[in-house]
Amino acid sequence: MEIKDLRERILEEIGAAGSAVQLEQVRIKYLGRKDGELNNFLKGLKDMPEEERRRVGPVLQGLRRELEDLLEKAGERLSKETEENKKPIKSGGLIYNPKVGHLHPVTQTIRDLNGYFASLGYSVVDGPEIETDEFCFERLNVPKDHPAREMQDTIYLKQPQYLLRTHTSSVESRVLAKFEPPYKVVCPGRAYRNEKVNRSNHFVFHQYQGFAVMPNASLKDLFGTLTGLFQRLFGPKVVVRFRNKYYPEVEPGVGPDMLCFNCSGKGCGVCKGVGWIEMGGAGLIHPNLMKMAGLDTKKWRGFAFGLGLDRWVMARYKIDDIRVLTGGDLAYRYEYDENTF
Amino acid sequence: MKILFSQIKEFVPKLKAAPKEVGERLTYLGFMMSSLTSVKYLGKQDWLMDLEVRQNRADCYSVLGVAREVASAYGLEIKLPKVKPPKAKPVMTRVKVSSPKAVRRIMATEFDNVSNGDSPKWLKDWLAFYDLPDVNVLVDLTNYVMMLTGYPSHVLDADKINGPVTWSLNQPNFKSITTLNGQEIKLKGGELLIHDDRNPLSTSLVGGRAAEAGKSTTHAFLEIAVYDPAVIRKNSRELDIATEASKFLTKDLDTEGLKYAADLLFSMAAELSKGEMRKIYEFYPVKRKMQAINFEPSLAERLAGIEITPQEAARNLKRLRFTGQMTGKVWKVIPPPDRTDVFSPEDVAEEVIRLTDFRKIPSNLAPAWPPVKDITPRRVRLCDRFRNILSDNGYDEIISLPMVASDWNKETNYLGWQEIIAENAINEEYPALRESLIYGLLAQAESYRLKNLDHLKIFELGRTFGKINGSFSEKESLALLAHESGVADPTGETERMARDLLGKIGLKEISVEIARRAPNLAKENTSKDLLVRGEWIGILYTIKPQKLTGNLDLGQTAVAEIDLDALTELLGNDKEKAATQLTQKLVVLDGNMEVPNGVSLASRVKDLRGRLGEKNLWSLEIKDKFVKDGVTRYTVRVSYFGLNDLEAKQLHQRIFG
Repeated sequence: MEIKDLRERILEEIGAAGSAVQLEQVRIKYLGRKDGELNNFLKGLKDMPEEERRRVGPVLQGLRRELEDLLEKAGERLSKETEENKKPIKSGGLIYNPKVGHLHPVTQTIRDLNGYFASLGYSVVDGPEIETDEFCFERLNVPKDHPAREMQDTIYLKQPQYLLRTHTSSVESRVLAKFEPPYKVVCPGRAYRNEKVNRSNHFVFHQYQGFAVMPNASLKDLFGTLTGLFQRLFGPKVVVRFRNKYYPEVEPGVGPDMLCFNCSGKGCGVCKGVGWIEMGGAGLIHPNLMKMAGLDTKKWRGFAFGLGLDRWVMARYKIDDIRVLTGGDLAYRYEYDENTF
Repeated sequence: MKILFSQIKEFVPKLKAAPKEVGERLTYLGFMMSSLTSVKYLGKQDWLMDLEVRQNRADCYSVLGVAREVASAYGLEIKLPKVKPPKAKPVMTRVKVSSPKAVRRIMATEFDNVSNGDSPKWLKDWLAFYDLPDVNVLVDLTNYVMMLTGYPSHVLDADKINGPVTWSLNQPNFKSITTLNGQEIKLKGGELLIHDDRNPLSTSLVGGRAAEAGKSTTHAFLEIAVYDPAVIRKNSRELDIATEASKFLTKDLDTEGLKYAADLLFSMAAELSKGEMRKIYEFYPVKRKMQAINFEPSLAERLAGIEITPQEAARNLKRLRFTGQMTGKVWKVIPPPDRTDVFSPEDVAEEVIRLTDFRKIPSNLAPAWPPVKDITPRRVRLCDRFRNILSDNGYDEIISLPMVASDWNKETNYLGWQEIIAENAINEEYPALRESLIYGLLAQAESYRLKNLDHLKIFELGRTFGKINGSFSEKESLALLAHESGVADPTGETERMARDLLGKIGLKEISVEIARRAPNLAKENTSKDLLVRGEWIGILYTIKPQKLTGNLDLGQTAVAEIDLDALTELLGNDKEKAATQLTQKLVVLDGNMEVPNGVSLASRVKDLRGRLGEKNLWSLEIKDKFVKDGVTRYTVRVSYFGLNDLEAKQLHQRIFG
């Protein structure tokens, strides 16, 4: 055995130890009273010929002193790093404080929106993620042969009836069927579409859906509600527009857009040159939906809206890969920069 | 849909608005302009607009369609290219329609002595703006007419056709077709084909090579048709074909408008190919007839929330080419034939509001509506409460993938569920729905451990899925994970937290006992069932020493998983209900309700609700039914809210006697 090799090995393992526990394991390995490798060599000195003992002994003793010294210094370093780890780490406006727990950024965003809608008297409802074709499509005015079906790649559990919901609008169709109006509801949740996973797309994503069924809901009511929502999400200076846009489950249909916060409407990569960012879909609930739910369209009218949540969460929390939201590394991303928008 | 501004101006010559303004107007009308690019066309400055056309507006998938919309928006006339069909030779082309239900209208003819060379430069340049290659003049014309009018057509070399050109659904008499670009498509049967006695010549969506029209063609067959869009959509899906033509033919095209497109195609073919046209064949079994819609003009105002006078409504509809009677309280309006998307009074109202302009509807005030009943389910509030408690106790929330590899389910399953596998998931690594939240927590824990986080507390609230007795089922679950290096028994933390959680929502009699069933992932003799008042609600265990990805030992990791649906049910029976928002007690009383023969239960219940009033009615349930002496009686359980016992009984007595 070469003492030089032993020394190099010990130094390498001390350097690689990333925690106090690992460092202790190194100490036990080489200096442990029972089976420590270096200790065993020192114990073996008494059995060596005297000449060899005189040569090797001081070297081994020196190595032991060096090892103890290195272990002490490494221990101090690790202990300092651990303390520093416990302090809030500030990086690019983001703060991670490991002493308190954190809610997921998607949850935080949903709570923020729920808070706004609670102030308007909305209930929060959820619904099944395994859905039937009836509640996911038919009752949303998308019968089997409708062209709109082609826009959504459905994940089927058992064709044609059972699937994973492609949008949270299925909760709307269930509430319409189950409850007598009036009501105001938001239903945040997860939806699924058969897409390949990459940086900006995922087969599982989060939506924020809302609807109200009242005696006299109008587009004016819808626009006012959504403007308040966007102000809550993006600040009071947000500029919003509402244009006509077709969706099978609403009539008239509305496409709400926000003026691009990055270029103020001039056109850039964030808004794909348009100057405006599409926020989702909305409109007055189609009378077919109401009739299918057994509601009298002369007595009740409603509006509905749906937003994709994930990209707003990503923008708010400066996350550039959607995969981080499900099972990714969020250890350092729990608070957001209020100056984003 | 890309369109040159000069093309809009060509068909709306009195248009004075600038391209940007026109684009903005179209955006608010439902055709969002995503780009406006300065270009040179025919040596002149021009603008290329990229517009979104949604699938309800088949009539606008064309230059003329968009031009019509612009003309309507500005109250201007549209000027269509004049078309004069050429004089036809008194020879009929040979056509047969064997599947009349799949075909709504066909116009077809043959041209003799054609010169099918290169297209003139203007036509090549025009096609280039639409990213369409120039092939020969007749093929190029079919593309030109398609983009201009929205009606696809085909040209075939008539000398290569054997027998009459036949439209029919494949029986299947043809097994495959080779397309113009050389691709062989297998046919299964049911496809709408254009064929002769020997070969398929074309599908409705893409041309075939058998009778391809080339530069040497001297005898051409031209057809233009509208089909049942449901058949075309089915064919497109099953054959996995998506072409420019399919974009149009899968929509509900106006059969009346086909005539103009056919006349245009045939007249231009005669002019540019110098061919002699034969008599036009036409198949049009059912002429389209637009139905009048009863429309109250006040509906537009009510839906918009702003004033829209009947005069303005009538003006807007006329601009959009609606006809009919527009006076009185209820109008009878007839949409133009190309508006196959307008059926109901609400559709008409949308047209009125669109042209009034969405920008006129204020957007600065949320409605001041009276309060309504809160229908938030108890479980939603419970989940919120748990999140608060856990984060206050240093737990981080994660969200993991709900679709997993099958192996993961085998490791974590302890409820005896059967796995649910997606039939068509394209992400092969994740074919199954998760039966437990634990593996997601472990995967997250490992990724955090790689960053030297020795002390880890994480949780997830989410759905777990499985088949129970063959039926799909899902549950809301809560799972916790605590990992701490150097700790002998990590279950202490998770058990403590689970008990704390349950205690904070007012539950007592919380106990643990040896688990009846343990997952494979659990270290031996560590699994414990979590019980409340003897009822099972969850499981705790330590993870068996193992390495998820081969890097780290997660042996000092404990987990807990709680079935929140079971817990919510328990809370339903719990008098304390600390997690719910109900602040007053309910008074629950039963009563009998008779339903005479011929009267519906629903109407009796509705009547009963009306008499009870909404103010103090919490719920009304039908609990039992019995028939005696020919009379059906129901036991009705009524829960009263906001009343004391005496008040509730008095009200109950008044209604039920």
